[in-house]
Amino acid sequence: MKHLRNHLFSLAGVGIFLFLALATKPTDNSNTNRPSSPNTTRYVNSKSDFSGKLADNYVDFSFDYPNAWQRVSDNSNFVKVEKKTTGGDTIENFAVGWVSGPKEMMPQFAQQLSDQSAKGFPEYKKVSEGETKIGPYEGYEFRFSSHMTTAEGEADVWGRIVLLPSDAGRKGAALVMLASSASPDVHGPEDVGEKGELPIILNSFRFGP
Amino acid sequence: MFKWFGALGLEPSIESLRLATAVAQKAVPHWLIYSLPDGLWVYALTALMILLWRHTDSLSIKIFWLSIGLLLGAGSELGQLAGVLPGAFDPIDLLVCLIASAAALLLTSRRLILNRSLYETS
Repeated sequence: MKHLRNHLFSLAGVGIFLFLALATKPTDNSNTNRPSSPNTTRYVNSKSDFSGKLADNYVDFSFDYPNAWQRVSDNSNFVKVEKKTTGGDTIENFAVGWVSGPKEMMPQFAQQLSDQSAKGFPEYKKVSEGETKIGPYEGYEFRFSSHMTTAEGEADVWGRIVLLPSDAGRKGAALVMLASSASPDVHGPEDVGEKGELPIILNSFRFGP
Repeated sequence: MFKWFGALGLEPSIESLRLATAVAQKAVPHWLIYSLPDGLWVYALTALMILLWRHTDSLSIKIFWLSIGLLLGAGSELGQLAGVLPGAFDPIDLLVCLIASAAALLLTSRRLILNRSLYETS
């Protein structure tokens, strides 16, 4: 056959292409089969830990957080982790709560959450709002600034709340991030989740068991 | 994480590098990390086929093999869109595959024509 050699080479090329492409493909988006770095601890959400609203709106997710951070109890969220000063003030924290609804509903939910946050943070001011992306997930976020008196004196507190809408077969999640002027790296609401140690958490956040 | 790195036990080291560069990752466009590798595979396979089949007169054979990279790259994306293949459909991936295939056809063919004209001149 005239082209036999070329056909064989082509088939071998396609075979090698498929082998290399599949071998170097990233593993699936679930995090639990991915080893954690020695510098971080993995949190994997588990339905058996919750009751009430949190159980009703349960969603599988996981993320890695720096070992220096601590888990703190928080009944209104699935989980909350925090980095504190020696005096106990928040430097940065990260909480995951529930949100259930399609993408189109997120601006409305964001407004409701912003109104709630305004009641809890002195001198609350929403500074930005819009679509965002956390890893492979599209979401909607707003950022705010606040000023309060803490045990260690006056502090600026900046917040960022990202709403990840429900998707086929799973509920959504609300990622709540706070950073304060006690952080040497975060200097304003635009830095929350972009500087400091929160990007480590955001980059590792994945839905799935 | 790349499966090969996992098999070689390198994932913790890679993960540490990821953490160290977590802030810098924000500055890298999403398509550069997730879509460009697919495009480069399609480019490489299409370019290989052009080189293998450059002396063939049969147009049907040529079209089949030259489009195999595009078929595999774009086909896998469309398969994800249809729910036949695992993974999330990304229109940017599809676009990058199309551009990569066209770029391979243009650049490799041009290079072959250039080489041929140089050979004939000498």
